[in-house]
Amino acid sequence: MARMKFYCDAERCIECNGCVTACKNEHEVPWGINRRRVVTIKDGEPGERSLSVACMHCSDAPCAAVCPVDCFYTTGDGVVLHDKEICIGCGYCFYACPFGAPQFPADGAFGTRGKMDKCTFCAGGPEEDGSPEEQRKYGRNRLAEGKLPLCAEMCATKALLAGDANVIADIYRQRVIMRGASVLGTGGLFRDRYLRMSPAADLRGASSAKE
Amino acid sequence: MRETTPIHRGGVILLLFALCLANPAVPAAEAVAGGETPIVVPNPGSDLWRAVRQREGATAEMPGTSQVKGSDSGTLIDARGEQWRRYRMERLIPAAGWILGGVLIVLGLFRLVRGQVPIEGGRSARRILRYRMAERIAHWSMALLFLLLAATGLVMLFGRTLLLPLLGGESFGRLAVLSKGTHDIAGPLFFVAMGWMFLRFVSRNLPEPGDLRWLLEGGGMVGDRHPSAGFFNTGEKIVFWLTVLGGTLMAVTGLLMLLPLLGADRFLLQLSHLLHSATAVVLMSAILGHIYIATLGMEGAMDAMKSGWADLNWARQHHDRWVEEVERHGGEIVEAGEIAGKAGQETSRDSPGASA
Ligand code: HEM
Ligand code: SF4
Ligand code: SF4
Repeated sequence: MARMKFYCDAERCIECNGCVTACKNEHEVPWGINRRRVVTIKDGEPGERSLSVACMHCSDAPCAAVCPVDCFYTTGDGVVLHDKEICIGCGYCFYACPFGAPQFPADGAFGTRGKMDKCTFCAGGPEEDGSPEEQRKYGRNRLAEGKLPLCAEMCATKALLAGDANVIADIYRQRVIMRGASVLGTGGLFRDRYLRMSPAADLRGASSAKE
Repeated sequence: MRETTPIHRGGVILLLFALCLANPAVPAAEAVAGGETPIVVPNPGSDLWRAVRQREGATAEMPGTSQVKGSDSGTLIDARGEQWRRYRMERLIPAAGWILGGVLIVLGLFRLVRGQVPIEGGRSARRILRYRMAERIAHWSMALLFLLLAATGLVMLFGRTLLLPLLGGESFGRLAVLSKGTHDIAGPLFFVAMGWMFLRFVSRNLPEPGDLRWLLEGGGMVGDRHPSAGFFNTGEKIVFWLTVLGGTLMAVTGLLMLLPLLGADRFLLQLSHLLHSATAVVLMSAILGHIYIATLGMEGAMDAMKSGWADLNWARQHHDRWVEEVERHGGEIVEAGEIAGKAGQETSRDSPGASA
């Protein structure tokens, strides 16, 4: 089964925030919640780079480890989802997540945290695929419709990639070879690690993705 | 897939088998490495995030800018979440279990060895006024809220490990939502009740010269001596100050976590949780001791907090200097039979111990 991943190419992202807008629109997320955001480092200085960040659907997800009510689950595609029926809004997943992905609507009394909301990799939630209930709580389930996340689909420069980790990695590796650049423009990081590998291993990694 | 001949494949399996026999703990992936080039599971993400974390001029929290406004929205990656996760999952939860369980066991053993501390010479026929109605309400409202907070906090802390397998998802889910909601409301109320309790009792909880001697004599809990004490003995004073200072810390850290409006960033939230949970364990341990003395540990200890009146012999035994003071000022000491008529008619506004 595929293992879904996001990858954002810092050499391509132009900080247009199109992914952020697409996500908000597709899922009609409540005001104040941003499942995705674009962060710029060294803004206005030489070496400025932007990256689009959302939930990274971690393999050993810290959010799932700390949740006091154990409401996270990982789908067969490696997508980390949670159940809003069980979430108590304690905020612990936000404390643990390295990417600041979990978001909270201020809808309790006195602005306390409501139920957690985060990027679903456009894969909905535990409700029946494509049901109105799922749509209301988690947004559209594009994966069930055979589509990939909208943020990446509509990215104008194809900086943001989403899909099977192996395919994403191949596309990215090709790009790096073509432009001979590193992930953050700081040296031959990628070449060091991957181009020195034997051609056989390289081929094998690439072709297995297409199975 | 690259072509592999059956012989080749058989060799790998044999090698695998041999390696597994030699060391059953060797994971299969490592075993394969001996015979063939490993299958690389490429994750360009890990290279990217490593580069982000190790980039020039990066600080611990690595702030950038983002058009999305929100708590830490400019932070790309914050590895401190991992430390917090380790604190809560590997330190806090096991340690809290051991400490609270240990305190219960020690108290149980203490009770077995020492038994209940009796009132010397038995109960007296006379009672001494110790707590007025307002003082009892202040104490009990704070105590009830504390117990509620402790119980609901423990559901959050141990629920996933202990209750979830026991109750199943649905019942535990309901309990967790109820606990969280109760904790959120009881928290601020606890702070108010504690403030009221503080104002009513603080003057009698200031340190005095006798406290050091009381401490040196071990509070009379070990040995047969009865250290002299005023209205509150040093042990009670310690519980008082622990509750007031710890409770304030609980309220401040709790409110920071509870109300995102206060604007705490992720690091401050992690720190708040650390202080909140560690202090909770300390306070719960202290209060377990406090409850032990009041119920199982000592005869007559709870009387005054229930009815307002304490047994005179008990009072002489444990708070001799206070009794002397009350007798000198002609305070309220009555026959046990008179109390029924007296209850609720506490005429004077000052507390029974105000002068002590
Ligand atoms: C005084 C006001 C208090 C406030 C405002 C407060 C608030 C909070 C908040 C916001 C949390 C995080 C989880 C959640 O959102 O429910 C929490 C957790 C917790 N609180 Fe409190 N609390 C207070 C007092 C207390 C007291 C007196 C105790 C125990 C003696 C306590 C024990 C706990 C425990 C054990 C946790 C769980 C920690 C964990 O799961 O890691 N709290 N509290
Ligand atoms: S919410 Fe954060 S910790 Fe959880 S899977 Fe997503 S990126 Fe990982
Ligand atoms: S906010 Fe919800 S999902 Fe996050 S840790 Fe708390 S209960 Fe779990």
